[in-house]
Amino acid sequence: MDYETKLVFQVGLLLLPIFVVALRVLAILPSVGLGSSNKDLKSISDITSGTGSSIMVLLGSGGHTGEMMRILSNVDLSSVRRTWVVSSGDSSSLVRAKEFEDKYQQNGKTCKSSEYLTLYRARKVGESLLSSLNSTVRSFVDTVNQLRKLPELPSVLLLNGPGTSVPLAYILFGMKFFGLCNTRIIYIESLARVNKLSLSGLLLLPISDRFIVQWEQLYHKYKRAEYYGILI
Amino acid sequence: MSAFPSDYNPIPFDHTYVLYDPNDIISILSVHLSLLPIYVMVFYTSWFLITREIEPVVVVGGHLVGEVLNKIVKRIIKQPRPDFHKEFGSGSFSLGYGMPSAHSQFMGYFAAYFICIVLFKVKHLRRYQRFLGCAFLVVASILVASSRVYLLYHTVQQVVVGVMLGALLGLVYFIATTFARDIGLVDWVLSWPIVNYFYIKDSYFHCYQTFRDEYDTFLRSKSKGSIKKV
Repeated sequence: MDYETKLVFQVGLLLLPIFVVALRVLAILPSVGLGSSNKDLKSISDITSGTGSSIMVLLGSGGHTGEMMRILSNVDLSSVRRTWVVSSGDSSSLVRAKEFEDKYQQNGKTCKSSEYLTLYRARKVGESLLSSLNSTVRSFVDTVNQLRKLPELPSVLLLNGPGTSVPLAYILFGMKFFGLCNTRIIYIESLARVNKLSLSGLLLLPISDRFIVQWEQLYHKYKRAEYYGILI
Repeated sequence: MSAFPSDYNPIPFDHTYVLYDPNDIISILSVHLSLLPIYVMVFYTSWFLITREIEPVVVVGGHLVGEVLNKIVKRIIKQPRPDFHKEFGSGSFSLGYGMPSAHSQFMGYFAAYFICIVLFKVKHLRRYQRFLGCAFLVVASILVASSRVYLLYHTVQQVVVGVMLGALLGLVYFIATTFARDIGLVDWVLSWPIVNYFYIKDSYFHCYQTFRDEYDTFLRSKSKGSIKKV
């Protein structure tokens, strides 16, 4: 084999992994439209349909948690396993989640078990760029470790926009890439966002299977956004 | 007579300079295949000027990235062209080198990007139509690549590397543009006053119309026009 032919194989071997990665991303990317098709689901309460499923709900902080709990108050989650994710040091969100669980216990219905995860916080409000980079990396590592401890990865991830949702969603997307899970990512943009998406929203739009906004302006601006009125 | 300064050292323009044998039909065909990238560029320009769609601009952006990449990779690999064209463009930045073939890379990108379009973006096509579209693109790339080998501008290896690199670029570029459209980057460009002035639009993303849709619209407006109230 002459030098030039060897070169062909070397370049080929170099490009092959990138090619495979690109093809896989293409196959699972929701915006390409090959990813799980779920346009038939019309209301928020439909996300829990199907037995044996589990939902992971991220409770960010103050306002985000409040919104999420109000959205969930209309939904019956008793038939699915629930995993509540809170940021470290956010005891009030944890309390809200436990209150939510207590209601199910009081009703005495047979309901699936629930779990709590506490994640290292990605970016504190007003933190400088450099130190937020550092804490983002730490939050990534921490999140992977926590997810590995779970008995099963969720079939639905419900987010509504705190900074922690970006690493969590991308980690689960990465796991989907390797075929480790088939989590559908559902993102609900905060009610506070009227004309512009939040940074988290912008970053998560391409990998979200469903992207729900609560204002018509946003619905018209972003093609994949869905709008069902104000949800809270 | 010699009015040229001694440092005037012209080189052939990469995609257009083609030497061939006029008595050989395959050679004549190869010339036009070698010029296909140029024809395709002319097509993009017309497409843009007539329809004012942003899509051709997006595609050409990828081609330009490919051309720059090609020049850089040629400089890195430093593989000479076949003996017959060894002196082709010597003294230029990278024309003297032959790996990867710019023509093949162009066609590899072209085929990969438009195969993605045919498979993922144009939803209404039937299975056999998709297959025919993809087959056409693949055959076109193979023919262009072969023409470079036949006209002795490149070796088979140089052409293979060109197609591989181009195909990868097309795939990655397709994903990148999908992201860019998703997060509204293309829409943002469309909102610039200068872009707005020329009524440039992105109906490929927002409201894709098939030829049948357009034809039906035509029929409807035609019949509307023909009814006259007395």
